[in-house]
Parts: sequence; structure tokens; C-alpha cells
Amino acid sequence: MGRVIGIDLGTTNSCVAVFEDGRPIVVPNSGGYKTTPSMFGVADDGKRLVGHLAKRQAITNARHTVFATKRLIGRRFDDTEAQRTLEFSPFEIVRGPNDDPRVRIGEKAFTCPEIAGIILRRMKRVAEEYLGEPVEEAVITVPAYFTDTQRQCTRDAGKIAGLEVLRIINEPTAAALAYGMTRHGDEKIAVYDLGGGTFDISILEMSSGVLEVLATAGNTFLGGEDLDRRIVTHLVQGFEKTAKIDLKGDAMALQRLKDAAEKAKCDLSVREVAEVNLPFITSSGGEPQHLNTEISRETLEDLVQDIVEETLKSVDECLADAGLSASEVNQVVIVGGQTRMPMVQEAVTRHFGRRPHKGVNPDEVVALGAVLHAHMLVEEEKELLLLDVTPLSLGISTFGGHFARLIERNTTVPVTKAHIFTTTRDDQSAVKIRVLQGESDLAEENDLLGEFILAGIPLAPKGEPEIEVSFDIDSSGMVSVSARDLATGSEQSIAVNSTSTLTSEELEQLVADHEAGEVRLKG
Amino acid sequence: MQEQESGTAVGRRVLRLAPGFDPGGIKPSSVEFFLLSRIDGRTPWRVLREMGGMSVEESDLCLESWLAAGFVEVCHSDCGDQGLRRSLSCEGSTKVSDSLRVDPSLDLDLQTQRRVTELLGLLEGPDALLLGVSDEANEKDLKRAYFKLSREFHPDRYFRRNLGPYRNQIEIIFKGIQKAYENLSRPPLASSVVRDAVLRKKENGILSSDSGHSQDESTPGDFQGLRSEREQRARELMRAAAQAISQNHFSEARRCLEIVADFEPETPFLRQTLAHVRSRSVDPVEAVVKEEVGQSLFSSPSRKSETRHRYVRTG
Ligand SMILES: Nc1ncnc2c1ncn2[C@@H]1O[C@H](COP(=O)(O)OP(=O)(O)OP(=O)(O)O)[C@@H](O)[C@H]1O
Ligand SMILES: [Mg+2]
Repeated sequence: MGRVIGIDLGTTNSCVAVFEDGRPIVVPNSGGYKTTPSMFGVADDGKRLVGHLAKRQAITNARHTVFATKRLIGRRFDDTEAQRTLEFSPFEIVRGPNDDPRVRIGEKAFTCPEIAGIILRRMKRVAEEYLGEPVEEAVITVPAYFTDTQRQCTRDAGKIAGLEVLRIINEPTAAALAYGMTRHGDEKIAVYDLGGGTFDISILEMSSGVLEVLATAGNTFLGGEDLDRRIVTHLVQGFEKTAKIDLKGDAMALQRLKDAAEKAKCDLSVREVAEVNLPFITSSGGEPQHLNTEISRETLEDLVQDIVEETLKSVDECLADAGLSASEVNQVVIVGGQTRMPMVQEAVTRHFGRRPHKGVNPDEVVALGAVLHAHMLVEEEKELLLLDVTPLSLGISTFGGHFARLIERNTTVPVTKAHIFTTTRDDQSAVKIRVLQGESDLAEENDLLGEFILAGIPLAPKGEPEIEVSFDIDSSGMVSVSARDLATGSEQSIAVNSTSTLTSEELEQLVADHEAGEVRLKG
Repeated sequence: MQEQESGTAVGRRVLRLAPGFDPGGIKPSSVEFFLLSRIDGRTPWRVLREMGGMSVEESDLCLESWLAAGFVEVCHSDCGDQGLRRSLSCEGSTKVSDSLRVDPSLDLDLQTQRRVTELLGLLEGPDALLLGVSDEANEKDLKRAYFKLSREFHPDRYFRRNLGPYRNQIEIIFKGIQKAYENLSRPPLASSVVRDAVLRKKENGILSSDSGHSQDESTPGDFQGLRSEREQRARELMRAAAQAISQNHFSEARRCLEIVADFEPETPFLRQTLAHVRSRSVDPVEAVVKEEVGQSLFSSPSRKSETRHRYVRTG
């Protein structure tokens, strides 16, 4: 069996790590970089580009260069998050046959799992070139607050990349693992992860060889991208005021603005003022127009203040769920490129009353933790045991459209929970079990993972039959649900692993296509 | 003392009323009456003793005394296994003990195989015993024990190993450990589902509405929520009946019991008691419970409340 790898599939950047000489290391790509942009594009000559090459053509070929699709994966086309992405997107996002958002480049509409699969395949390749042997198995990380559907789509992406996905683990948990390997003794750890697209906060406890996730919270649609967007809006408004030209409809201009906005944002992490200089941004009446302005750190901080505060709200929720106060946390680990922003670091420091830990590389630590977990699974030595939780409550829809939680969020997995339900009408012979995930008390506001019907209930007055509904999450995070009529013993169940936005036929086809397109590395 | 060992084997015993037992023959307090009413040939001792109304020790004592007096008897159904099987029902595994033979061909050393069998045996017992902590263990001790057992039994420890039937059992043990830890480390809350149901009922009258949205029609209602309310109601009525019997108000007792019989599953006790009060209420002259000294069944360890007084056997 080949080597296992760990992949941090980020919104903005991806990173791959392998285990070598008794420790995890990050593998640089052929350009020498330890992270690879999570970008995919099709060049004018039809060539497919991934990573830095795709990023290089982003401005000149904005409509055919795709980025940040992690913000779309596992969502429905009509979700507000998808709609918000659509609004600003220089590339075309269309409604797929399963109501999923797809990216159209020329003739072809790419599904989000496929794009993620292309990026994963690249990361797999980076590892293979380094190791000089084929790689088949991986642990892939996702934001802790990802729903089951989003996780399932990521699993599919792994398959499309030709990988067997050993486990999908949470990004902050992976970071904590990598951090925890270097520590001894008991600690309560907070991991604050603000990346390009998502924000996660997890509180963990480490003691005698066990790393237990106490609670996790976050927002899968809050990250550096949103800061960039605020800057772009600011620039567009400024330009409209001075030049009286609206740039919103211009894909290339938008892409240049986004690029410049991100650069300015990063500059402002070390400087007080950043210059934004975009010559020939557009033309008006045959006259070329230039955008030339400055942004101060103070302006930036005003623009994004509420985003940073939003993250602190999640931190408080998470602390409450963990039953801890901020001062009881012994160590704060910050992860994700966006935590380089001084304002973020200050906010975290203020909130926890301590400076964050500086010993880990915020870009690499997640991939390192992923390969550590892979290694701990397949190898005999088990130094650290991970007790992870399910981030969102699971339950079913009950009479009146209510959501009955069977497994509460932050429950350690694996777990089985059962509860007895009954009929609501006389002589009702069937019940519909709608499996949901989320935190709303209203069933319809939660994510539908699947549904099935238990029929053949003997006729009885309402409230008489006893129907036991049982939820199970196994150690790999797979959810299965069964319903049993206690009187007759008849039972129906589903494994909730078909919640991807891809149908199984589509998935098979994609796996085959990408397998065929692969130039195999001889091992 | 008996309560010391009531953890596993004793706790698994299932009691039923002795054939020909006449509930009119004893004069229980209302809490004792309630306990008696719950003896149905299905509920194991360890559940009965936690039924509430009196302390666990008092319940034990009470049950022991009834057993000694021949009011109740142990039915020898294979109840331990049944209880276990119920808790495993979602795994779909039926006979745990059969499939779990020590098997040297598995990728699991024999010592661990024996540990699995040992822990499976503790699953139905008290949580503290499963975790191997004393009843007074503090949060720290609990966590230490929980982590230690997790390191031993978390399924990730055995990733991809050939464990045969042990794979399922190890997962079941881990879930059991986790549940025990949860139970002990937090004050027991009413399950949120039940909590929700109660709230919801207040808002929407979920029970009474015959037809809701057509879309909702087939979604289930909360049974445990309803059942706990029903049980609460039954308990109140049974207590009222007991009160009435002790004051020789048989017609009133009869009314209470008839209501209970209307919506509770009929237990032998309920049937017999109802028969008893019916016979008494039609013939009030006979309706005298003798208070003369009879055989003393147990002596009270405390004089705390009305739960403590002597039983007499008439005739
Ligand atoms: N020096 C810096 N100052 C401010 N922001 C920065 C800096 N360096 C990187 N960033 C921002 O960090 C974000 C990328 O972070 P990272 O690579 O950790 O995200 P990711 O892992 O791809 O995304 P996610 O984890 O949300 O899926 C980008 O928005 C980038 O602009
Ligand atoms: Mg990240």
C-alpha cells in the first residue's frame, strides 16, 4: 500500500503534506511554493490550467478562470450564499440539473465537486512527484462548520481526483492535532481559523494522549474574500464618484480590482497606507480611464470592523457550548492567512486576554494535521487520540413542521441516539422521516439530508403506535437513520451518504473521465 | 447488604407479581403503591429502583421485602441479554454473546478480546462501574477515566484491522462509555426533544389538531413527550387511588383506577387492584382493611416519612 497524504483544500490556497522521517512535512510544488492557489482555468487554446498558472491568467481571461468554488460546493443554486457569489463573479455560474450551482466555461458546465477534484488531483500530483511513488489515500480537511452535504461533495471530489478518502476532518481540529503533537501536559486550546472563505472556532482539551473537541462554531461564508469584496465595493464607489463610471458590469475590471484589493489588504498588514494603481481600468468615450488611489489601514479597519466582530460572536457561542470562559483557555492558536491582519490579532488577543501562539505556520498547520491523522489511522503507533464532534444538530421533522433534534451539535462521534415518535392521525399507516441538519427549530430552515417512509403501521388511534427513530454517526462521520415500528418490528433505514449535489451516475462518469485524462506516474 | 451488589446481576432481575397475589391484602403508602404498580414482568430491578418517590436504597429494601414475602417473584427470562439487545438494536446485531468467542485468528490480541467481553457485560450496569470510578468521582476523575477508556476503545484505534464481530462491539462500548461519561458529568436534563415537544404543545396544540398542513400529515409526532406526560398523569391518579384505598374510599379509588386503565397499558397489578376495589365498592360493608398486626415484612431503616410503615398480611 502506498503512502498516505494530508490535503488542506482551501478556498484560496491548498496545501499538501506527507509523513517522512517520523514527522509530517509540507511538500512544495514544482514552482517551489508550499501552497498552491485553489484556482482552475481554461486557456484560450483550450488547455486546462490549475494553481499558479490559472492564477496568472485570471486577469486576462477572467471569464474562464475559476476561484473560491469552495464557497459554492454543497450548496443549492438558490442559497443566499450562492447568489451572493454569483453577483460578483467574473466567471459564469449557472443552475445545474440538480439545482446545484455549476461553473460554465465555454461549452462545459463544471460541477463544484469536479473543480475541487481537479485541484485535489494537482495536490496529489505534487506529493507523488516529491515521493516518487503513486499515492492513493488521503485525509482531506474541511471547515468544521461544513454541513453533511458539503462534506459529501468534498468526498466525491476526492474520488474524482483518484483518491481514496480515509477521512474528512475539520480544519481547526487538524490544526490542533499538529499543534498538540509538539506539546505535553494538559491544556485547553482555542483554534481561531480565519481563511479565505470560512471562519472556524474550535475549543479543545488535551490531556493524557487524548485531544477532545469540546465545541466548535463558525461561519462557512466569512473570510478574506469578504474583506476583499468590501475593498472592491469601496473602490468601485470611489471611482463612480470621481470618474462617474460604474465598473460593476465589467468582468475584467472587477477581476483586476479584486486582485488589487487583496494586494492592498496584505500590504496593510505591514504598512499604514497602500497604493492602488490600476491604469486603463476602463475607457469612456474613447478615453482610457485610470484608477489611482490610496487606502489607509484605518479605512480598511472601518470597512471590515463588523466582520471581525462577527467572528468574536462565534467565539463566544463556542465558549458557551464548551462551558468555559475565555480566561480558562490556556492557548490560542491562530490559523489562516487572514489572521495576519493586525486588527484580527488584536481582537483575538483582547478577547482571550492572551497573545496567540506563534509557533505554528498558519498556512501549513492544517495540512500537517491532516497527514498526522492519516498516519495515526493507518499505523500502529497511536500517540494521540482524537475525539471529534459533530458540528451541527441532527434530527427529523415532526408534526407542524418542527425540528426534533436527536443528536445535538457538539456531540462526540461515533454516537447512536434514539427517540420514540408516534402518529398524529387515527389509523395512520405510514410516517415520513425527513432527516435534517441545522440549528433552526423550524424544519424547513434546516438542511434536508434525505427522507424515507416507514409504511405498514397497524391501524390504531393517533398517538398509540411507537416508532423508534434512531440516528447513528459512525467514526468516519457517516450518518445513518432508521425507523422501527416497535409493535411489528418492521424497519426502514437510509445511509445518508447520497446527499452530495452529484448523482451517483454523474459521479461515476466524472471519476472515469478524470481517470482517463490522467497521465500515470510510474511507481 | 443487598443494595451493595444491586449493580449488575441483581439489577437485571425482572420481577412480576406472584400468581394469586391480592393487592387488597397489603396497605402500601402511595409511593410504595406506585412502585408496586410498576412491576409488570418487563421492567428490570435497576429501573424500578430509580422510579422515584423514594430513595434507591428504600426501593431496594421494599422490593426485597416483597420478594421475601412472596408478593412478587423473579421471572427467569433472559432479561440481561434482552436489555443489552435493546440497546444494540440499531446495530442490527442480535446475539452478542454467541458471536463473541475468543478468536486467535483476529487482528486483536486475546487480552483485548477479553476486555471487550468484560466491558460489554458492564454496559447495562451503573455508569460509574462502567467507567471504573467511585460514586463520588469529581469532574477531573471522570474525565481521566473517560479518556483512558477512549484510548482503549475508540474505533480509530482499530482502523482497518480485522476484528471480526469485535468491530461492532468496540463501537458499541465506546458509545456506552461516552454516554456514561455524559450522564455522570452533567446534571441529567430532560431530553431536548421532550423539552421541545412540551413547548410546542403549548404553542400549537399538536395533540388535539386532527389535521395540520397536508404536507405535515405524515410526519411523526413526539411519542416520548406524550408518554412522559401520560405517565405523569397515571402516577398522580395511582397515588390518589392509593390514598383513597388507605382511607377505605373504594369508589373514589375505583374511579381513579378506571381512568388509568383507560389510557395506560394494563398491568396485572392494575387489573387485580381494580378488581379488588370494584368488589369493595359494591359491597362497602366488607370494605375494611384490617389493621391488625400481621407478619412484619421488613423493618424500617428510617422513620422519615409515610413511605416507612409496616406491611400486614391479612387473613
Ligand atoms: N499578510 C496578509 N494580510 C492579510 N490577509 C492575508 C495575508 N496573507 C494572506 N491573507 C489572506 O488570507 C486569505 C487566505 O488564507 P488561507 O490560505 O489560510 O485560506 P484558505 O485556507 O484558502 O481558505 P479557507 O480555510 O477559508 O477555506 C486570503 O483572503 C488572503 O488575502
Ligand atoms: Mg484554510
